[in-house]
Amino acid sequence: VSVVAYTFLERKDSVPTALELYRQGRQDEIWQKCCGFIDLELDEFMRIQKRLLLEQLIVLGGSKIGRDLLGGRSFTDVDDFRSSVPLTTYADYVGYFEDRDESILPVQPRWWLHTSGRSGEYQYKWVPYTPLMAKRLGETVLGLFLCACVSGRRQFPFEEGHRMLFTMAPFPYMSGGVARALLDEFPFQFLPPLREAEEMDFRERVEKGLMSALRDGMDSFNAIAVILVKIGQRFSQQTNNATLSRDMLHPKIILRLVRGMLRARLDGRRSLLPKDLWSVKGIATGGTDTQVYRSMIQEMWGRQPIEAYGCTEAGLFALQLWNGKGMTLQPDISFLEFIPLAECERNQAEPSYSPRTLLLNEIEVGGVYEVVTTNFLGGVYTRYRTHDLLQVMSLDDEETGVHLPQMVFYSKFGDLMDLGSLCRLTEPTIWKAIEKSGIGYNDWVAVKEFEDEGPVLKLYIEPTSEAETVDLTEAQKRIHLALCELDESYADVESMLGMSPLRIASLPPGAFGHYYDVQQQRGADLAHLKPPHMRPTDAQLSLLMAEPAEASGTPM
Amino acid sequence: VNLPAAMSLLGLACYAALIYLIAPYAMRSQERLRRLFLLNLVVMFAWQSSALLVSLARGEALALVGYQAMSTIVVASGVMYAAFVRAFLELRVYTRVILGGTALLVLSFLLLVAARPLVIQGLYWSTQTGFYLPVFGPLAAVIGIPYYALLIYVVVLLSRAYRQARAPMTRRRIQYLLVGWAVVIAGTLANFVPFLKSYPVDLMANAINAGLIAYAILRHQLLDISIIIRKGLLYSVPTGTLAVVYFILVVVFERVLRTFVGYQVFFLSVLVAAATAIAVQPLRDRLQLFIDRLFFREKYDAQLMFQELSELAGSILDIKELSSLLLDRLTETMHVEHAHIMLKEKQATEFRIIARQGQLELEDEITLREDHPVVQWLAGRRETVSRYDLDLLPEFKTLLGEELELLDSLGAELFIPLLVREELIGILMLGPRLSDAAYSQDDQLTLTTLANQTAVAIQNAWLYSDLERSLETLRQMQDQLVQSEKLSAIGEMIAGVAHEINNPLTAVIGYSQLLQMQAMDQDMQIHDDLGQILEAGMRMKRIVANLLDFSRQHQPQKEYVDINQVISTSLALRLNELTNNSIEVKRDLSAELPWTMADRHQLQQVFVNIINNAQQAMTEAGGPGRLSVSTREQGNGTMLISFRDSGPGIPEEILSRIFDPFFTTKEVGKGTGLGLSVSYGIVHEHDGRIWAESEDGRGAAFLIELPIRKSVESSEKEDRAVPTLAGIMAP
Repeated sequence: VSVVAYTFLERKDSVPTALELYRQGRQDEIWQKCCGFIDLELDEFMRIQKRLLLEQLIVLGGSKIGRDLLGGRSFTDVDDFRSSVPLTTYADYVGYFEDRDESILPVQPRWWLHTSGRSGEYQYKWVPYTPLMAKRLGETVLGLFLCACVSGRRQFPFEEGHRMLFTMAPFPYMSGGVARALLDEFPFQFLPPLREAEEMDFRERVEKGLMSALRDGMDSFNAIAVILVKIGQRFSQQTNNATLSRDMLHPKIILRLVRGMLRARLDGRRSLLPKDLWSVKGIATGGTDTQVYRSMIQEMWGRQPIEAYGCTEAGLFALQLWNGKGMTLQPDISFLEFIPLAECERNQAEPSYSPRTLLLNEIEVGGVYEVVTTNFLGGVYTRYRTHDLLQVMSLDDEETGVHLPQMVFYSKFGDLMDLGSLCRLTEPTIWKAIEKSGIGYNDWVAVKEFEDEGPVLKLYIEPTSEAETVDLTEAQKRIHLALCELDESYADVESMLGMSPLRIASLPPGAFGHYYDVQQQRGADLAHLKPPHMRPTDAQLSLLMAEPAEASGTPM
Repeated sequence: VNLPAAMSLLGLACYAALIYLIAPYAMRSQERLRRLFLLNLVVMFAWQSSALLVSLARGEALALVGYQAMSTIVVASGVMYAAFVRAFLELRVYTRVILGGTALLVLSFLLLVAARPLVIQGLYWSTQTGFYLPVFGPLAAVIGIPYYALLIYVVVLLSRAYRQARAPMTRRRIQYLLVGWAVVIAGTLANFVPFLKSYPVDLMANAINAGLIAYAILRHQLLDISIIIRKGLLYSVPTGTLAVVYFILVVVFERVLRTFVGYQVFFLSVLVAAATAIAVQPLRDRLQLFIDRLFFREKYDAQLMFQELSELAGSILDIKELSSLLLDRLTETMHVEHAHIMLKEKQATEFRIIARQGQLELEDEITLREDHPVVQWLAGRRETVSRYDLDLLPEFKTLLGEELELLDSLGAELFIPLLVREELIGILMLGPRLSDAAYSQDDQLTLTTLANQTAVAIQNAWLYSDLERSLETLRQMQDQLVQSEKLSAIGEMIAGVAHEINNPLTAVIGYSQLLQMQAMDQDMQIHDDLGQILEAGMRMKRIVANLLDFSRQHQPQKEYVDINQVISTSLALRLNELTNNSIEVKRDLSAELPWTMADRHQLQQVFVNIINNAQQAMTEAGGPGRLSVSTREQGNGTMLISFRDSGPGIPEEILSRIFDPFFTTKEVGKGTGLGLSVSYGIVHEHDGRIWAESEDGRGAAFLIELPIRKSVESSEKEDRAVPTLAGIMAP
């Protein structure tokens, strides 16, 4: 650790953990530590951003990678930094991180986390996490769970041993780092225990976790939205089948199931839902599908999911509050800049054009912006383009009394489906439309194709085993109507082009399961076991369309 | 006296009072902890009641019922206390603890009812104690062992929590619970010690526990009971005492009257009450004072401190002395390890430590800039902030690591704003307390009041100091005005006279030279005499030139100069003369001295003049001399140039006249008396000051203060400085 970095950062490590505060009866201060930022005014937010950036630049400037990224310059002015240091992508870091040489870094990392990225351009994108970054990550995740479990400010609903079903990807994926960081802050009881879970594959982890939750109960749940829905659906189906596996023949599990069924009956329902089995205090989730499944999760689990936004390179830096509306950005994780969507598009058309960035106090309501982050706390990613687009919902939130801009995830920049510059469809919009159409499907992908009349959106859908086949004409009609309802500009396309810009194709049964198996056999990374929803490559599409020798169910 | 009954009664009264005060509060509260605490008090009350029953029972059957009840209640107390402690320590109140405890309670009850002889074999009358004592049966251990296991479990829980607790207040609270419960355990164990068995040690222990809990509630805010309840309890004690005194007196008087007089006086009660009210009032006041000092010691001492400081604040007008005195009293009264006061001088941008108290060693001078997050908080929110807050409040996320390090080096636990009319003039920083106890809300309130009082006192001292400075400036300006007026008037007169003399003098010199040339070949005597006239004429010409120089009003030609270099040049000009007269020159020219805008030649004239005067004075005094020349930057945007000689000095009576024109101590012909006047004028033209200091016989010093004026170029150079954290700290 360089002397400069030590001097600047070591002192900040004195913040007590949530557990220490809890044992001293200082629950109010746990809230301050994890969620207090929501009480900041915008000018205070900007002040924190600017000061911490200048501190970070001095720390970074003491390292080889920092000198290279900053062009050997020192900065005392934020605007000077923004105008002098170019925007970066992973291509600017890959050469440094191939061997994970720590001597080039400003601070010795605690973890090397990785993400494989959506495109698979790199095997892994490596991200060094300093001890302070890891600590802040833990505080942010605890903040997320607080927001998921409370109904207002300054509440602390956890006790030691709070049972949490945690089904995210294992270490060294970021979600694995999240789990470890969270345990550093407060002793949650993970189902199954973290060390064991890290050794299991995804399916086993979920199965074991659920079994423990059935036996001993569960207080909160962390998973991606689609998993929550799949679990809900599975319970519902099992009620109908009324079969119990051997593992479920445990008195506590039987008692819980009986109690759950009774509740379902008393509620006038025949099918069992997770909310009949558990009274979860909170559900935390992430990913684009949260918007799609929000109401369904609330119906199944009895609580709406609360989400966070971030990426491995920048950490978690936006939290949705207890009202489940827009996300509020954190001031002390990364320095945040925003590229207006039009600037991104211009840069895409003219790669030599350097897009203009805005700061949080310059963005406008309704605007869509790509997030650019510069790590604080000794990290190295500097003016890094995330390619994630956020939309500004409002500049404050009256309901929660927050005076900071409220954001929602809009899309990955590369995922935007532009139909002749007339409308721009995002993954959540298409997903919501498919859900809204009510057709039985396992999964889907969307591509843009060109016909004589112009560009069209083509959806490839794998029907559920119950549906077996999809009435394509009916499906197209229903999804089209749903898209018209969800996106006004899409509705205009038809009138302008004189045709419906939607096409539907059916994938063979078990297509996604087959894809998963093939990719697993090929040794693909966890993130690439499923194809992306938007714009899959030709090879990915071919693999999906190949008739599987033996159909298998889609994994959760 | 039935001691056990009295002890039970005392314990009963304590618990009843606690229940009475806490019940309404706890019943309204949704917090499990307070309700559990109330339940504990109720169980302890029941324990004391059963003990009272036993100690008063004169029949074996009644005493047995008492013991049966007591045994069950004792077990219940263990269970309730375990649940309370778990809740207090923020631990999950395990169902198994509750279930296990309830099972033990039910088992105890059943055993005591259905198989009583196996638990309590019988009773015997103890003449020593004056009540029935039990003989335990073989199954007593079935109740006793789990009960003691529960007690040990509670002690282990509390001890572990005590070790882990970081906050002093939490440690204190746990400490009281731990000690209280240890006393209860010791009390019950005393029943197994033969020679203690006869005494009501367990009952006494219970009473002590009740007292400790009450004290912890009052003194250390156990359970966060509101101050109204605390005060209510405290102020009811003197009243209660009065009532007891009144009651005793009435009873005693009645007895006395009935015994000796044989009849009752109807109005006796009224008379005794009136007499008591008058006679006992001083006692009540003293009792109240004692309670105040016992429970609100700091506050009581603080009040005395306020009084003392109010008196001193009026009489001490030196800020440093005032601040030191304040810190001295403050650390003494509040038992604080160390404390500092930081103040911001007018027009300054930083807060500097002006007074310190305690053993803390500070390596460097510590300053806080106006844009420091703590300063901004104190100025903006005008509220006290603690070191804990710096770690946790979002507003302090902006703190840089270096700034935190700096604050930690001050060892401050509390930062209290010193405000005058809502403007932050200083910061009072307090370190930890000697007792390791945390600052309570009451303490902070007291300290805020003190800080406000301090701020006003400091402001007064500042105003006084400003006034003094203004008076001094006024006096100096008056002197300068007089001097300037004098110079101006003389200058005008001189200019006129010199001009008038110059023309005839030119004729005198010209004709003298002409005559001298003519006389060269004729009469050498005339030639030589004319030489004398010519020399005198030339001397007059020099005098006239000097006079015109003195009177000439012109603006200096200023450029960006290095004053050190001007001094060096001046010394070099006079070096031979100085060396020849055995005068050693000692230079102490500051390398950090900034350049300034000045007329190089005029200043050189001033410096040479002063060097000449010094050299002449030292030479006349005989023997070797020493001339010390120094420069340094002063904090107020000026520089100070000093010429100090080892000559005879300037007599005090002429010190005020040395800058007057034509004033000279040199013999006629050796000086015009205009050198220092001209120097005065030049320095004045530079917006500076020149003055002399001297002690007769111990040398003289000429001091010149010049303003530091930067050129445009130098300002630009500074703007291109290398980045540092100080740069970050700028707004």
